[in-house]
Amino acid sequence: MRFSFILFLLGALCVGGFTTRASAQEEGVNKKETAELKTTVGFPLRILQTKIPGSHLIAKPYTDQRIPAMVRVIESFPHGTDFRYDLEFRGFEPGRYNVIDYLQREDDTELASAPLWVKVEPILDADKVRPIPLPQKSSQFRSYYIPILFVSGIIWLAGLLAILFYGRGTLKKASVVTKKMTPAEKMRPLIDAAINGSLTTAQQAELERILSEFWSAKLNLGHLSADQLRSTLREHPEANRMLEQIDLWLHRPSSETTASVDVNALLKPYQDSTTVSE
Amino acid sequence: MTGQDATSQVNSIPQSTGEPNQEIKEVIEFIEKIRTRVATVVVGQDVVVERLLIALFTGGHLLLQGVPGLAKTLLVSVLSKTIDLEFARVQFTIDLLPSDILGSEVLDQKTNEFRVHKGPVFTNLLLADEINRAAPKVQGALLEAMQERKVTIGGENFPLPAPFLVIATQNPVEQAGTFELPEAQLDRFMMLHRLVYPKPEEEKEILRRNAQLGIRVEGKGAVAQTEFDMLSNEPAGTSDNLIAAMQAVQQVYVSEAFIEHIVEIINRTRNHPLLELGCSPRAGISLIKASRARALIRGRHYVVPDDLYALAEDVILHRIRLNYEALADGHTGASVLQSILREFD
Repeated sequence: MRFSFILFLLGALCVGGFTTRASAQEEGVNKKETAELKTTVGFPLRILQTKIPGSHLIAKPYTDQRIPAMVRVIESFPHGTDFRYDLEFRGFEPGRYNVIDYLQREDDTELASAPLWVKVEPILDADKVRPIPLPQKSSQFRSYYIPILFVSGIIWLAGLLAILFYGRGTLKKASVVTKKMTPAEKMRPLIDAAINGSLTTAQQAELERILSEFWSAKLNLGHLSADQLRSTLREHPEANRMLEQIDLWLHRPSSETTASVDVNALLKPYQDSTTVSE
Repeated sequence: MTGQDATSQVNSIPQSTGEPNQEIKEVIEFIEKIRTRVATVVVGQDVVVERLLIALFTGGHLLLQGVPGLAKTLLVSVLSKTIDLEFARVQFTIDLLPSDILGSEVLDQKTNEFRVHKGPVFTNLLLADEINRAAPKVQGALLEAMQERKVTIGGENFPLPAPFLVIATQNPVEQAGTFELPEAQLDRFMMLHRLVYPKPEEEKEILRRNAQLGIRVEGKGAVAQTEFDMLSNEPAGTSDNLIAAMQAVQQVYVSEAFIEHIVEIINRTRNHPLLELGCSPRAGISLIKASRARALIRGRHYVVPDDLYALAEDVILHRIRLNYEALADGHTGASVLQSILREFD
């Protein structure tokens, strides 16, 4: 009796153990099938250390924007004769995807592996799957942009040409106009004023400068510096005589000019001089 | 109208008149002695000597621009010995400090008190060699001392000796690592003279003299003599002669017509289309001062436009700045200045 009870207990335990193991295995499969990976539209999903039997896999090239999902092989690790993979999956449309469909063998052999499902769920409501289209407003400025750009370019170019040619030309023209007067022409009214006794100090100084230039033009000394010109004129007998008279007239202390300078006699030869030109 | 009538219109500034008096004649003799003494060791460079004397007699400062080896140091050295003046030379470098020139307070460990150690600026003739190699703060410190003729050390003012003349040099080449003096500081120099190489005849004379210098026995050996060894320690004049010369410069007559010339030139620099910066009033003052000294050196007691034209480049050129258009057209400061001086309209 006791022995038969023990046998019963052992039998019951064996049966119980078998049924528990079988149900556990069944539950694991179901669990594997039901534990589906999930992500949302556009968000990457990392699938780490996934073992896929066979030779090395690579991601299929994403050649068409109509393909609703893509896979990236982050890293692969040898695993015996197989490989483990770190994958990144991204779905662009809601739905259920087999990751294996987006992989291919590196050696171009056939890929026949158990599916690896990923469910891509939408974030937006069903009736708001597409973004609201932007209003297509036509800008008036945008429509005239190219013509405005073209006209501005022409105005800028015209301004540049005007500065380069007209501006310089005006300056040169102005300088030419001032240089048209010869020293003789310039000093004639000053000499007249000097002889009339109405010459101011500033005009005296101006007359002195013009007389130097008159001699410079007469002796062709235009290439000399002002200092060299004065030195050269000092060495010329006639010009030096004129300079000494002017020194006596304008630059020596008044008490020394008792001998007086005959300004008429000094300036008369230059009054009617028209021979010298620039 | 007579010259007397014409001159009577001029309101000349009050100055002495008449022929050179005995004092001026003595000054002219003194100047001639200096020139003769300088000529014993320096060949040529008459213009530089004249500029140095102008600076000395007017109390202005001089900037010499030229390549090394043109006897700048020798010239200043012989000038100081000839007039019996103290002379100091400072080689400007990038790491020079203002206190290296002006002086500083140092702690006397015996007395435990600060005492003032005066720098080389406390002299009569200071040669600031290659002034553009020093940092701007050093240049600024020296130029401030030049302007105010006094130095502040540790909160105490120390007047600089009289006469006080700075002769600075700068090298027109090797501009890398230099600090160009700005216009405002260049304006402090009465003149900037550009040294040129000696003429071939002068160069031959330099070589002949150098070949005859010989050696000087020192201790157990000997050293080759230089021009500095040829300098006579006997001065050609005293400080009284110098004061008399400075006084004589003040008596040189400046006519109103001459002032008109200066004002006209200064105004032309300010209104010239090719110049961005014209001359300051200080330039006009410097022109008159320098012209008076040149007139005296040339034996005249009145200035003439020759003085003005001879000095214009040295006094004006460093005070003007070309504008962009002038630079683009290839003008130089000298060419623009000559066009100003030669213009008669």
